[in-house]
Amino acid sequence: MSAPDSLGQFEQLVLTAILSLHDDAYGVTIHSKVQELARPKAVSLGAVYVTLDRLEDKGLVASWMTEPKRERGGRAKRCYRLEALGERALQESAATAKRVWDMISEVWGKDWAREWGKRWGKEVG
Amino acid sequence: MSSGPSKIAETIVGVFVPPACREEVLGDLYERYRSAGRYGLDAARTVPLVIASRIRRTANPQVLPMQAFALYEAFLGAAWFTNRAFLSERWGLPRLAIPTAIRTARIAPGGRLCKARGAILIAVGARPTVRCAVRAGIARLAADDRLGSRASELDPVLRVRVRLRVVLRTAPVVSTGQRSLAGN
Repeated sequence: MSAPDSLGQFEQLVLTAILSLHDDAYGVTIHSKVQELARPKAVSLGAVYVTLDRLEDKGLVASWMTEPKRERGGRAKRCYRLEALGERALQESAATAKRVWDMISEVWGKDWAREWGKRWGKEVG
Repeated sequence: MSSGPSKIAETIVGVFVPPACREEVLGDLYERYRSAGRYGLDAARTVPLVIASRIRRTANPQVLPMQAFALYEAFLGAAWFTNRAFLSERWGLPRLAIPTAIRTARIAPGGRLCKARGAILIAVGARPTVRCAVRAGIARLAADDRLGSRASELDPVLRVRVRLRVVLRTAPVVSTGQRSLAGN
């Protein structure tokens, strides 16, 4: 298997959204999940489409069309799933983020890490 | 709560969305529908990015600059042929890049997006392009202006035909329109 390209931050968010949505990952749900992850930044639906196209070109995600749905005006959804290469790229990104976090907390101290951990916990809750 | 956007709004948005992704984009916009204004705003923020993405995915990076160059040459030739003074103006040459960019943008996504609409786009885009390219070629070949002042009286298409005859060293074109011009 070829080594995946390093991911941009927005690509990481989109891949994480697809990972968390399982079989229900399509434009609208991915967008709302990415918006949740990217808080407080606003994310446009168009930016999500562009990134999905790019990830598909890189072979990190695969897509398929569903049956037309009445609640979508009789239109089909394009659903996405992670490919093996995408999972690997996301794992590498997560490992890098963890290393960054560990390094920063080592320099700025455990108290700082605990403080920020609490703040994030509140935001998520 | 409104059930969905009006058919007219969807049709208008659908015209701008590339056919390859029209189904899912229109479906997603339908699902996000809250009001007509929000739908319009959503579409305006989404569609340009979708178009740009399709262009990036489908355009051939080697062919596209060649197409753009050929188009620029064609417009340059047409300008040389019809209004030479325009080229010596300060922004004459850069201004020719504007129709080139527009035409290139029309050709780029039209090539592979969809068989039906792509064919129409190519047909619409290619005909004037070929016409301009022919004119540019003729303008280059016809170094000597043997028609003199009479050439400026002819309509552009007929003038091209007349020049073509001059270039090919054949008898001048004799058509009804030209006879009447010659009579004057």
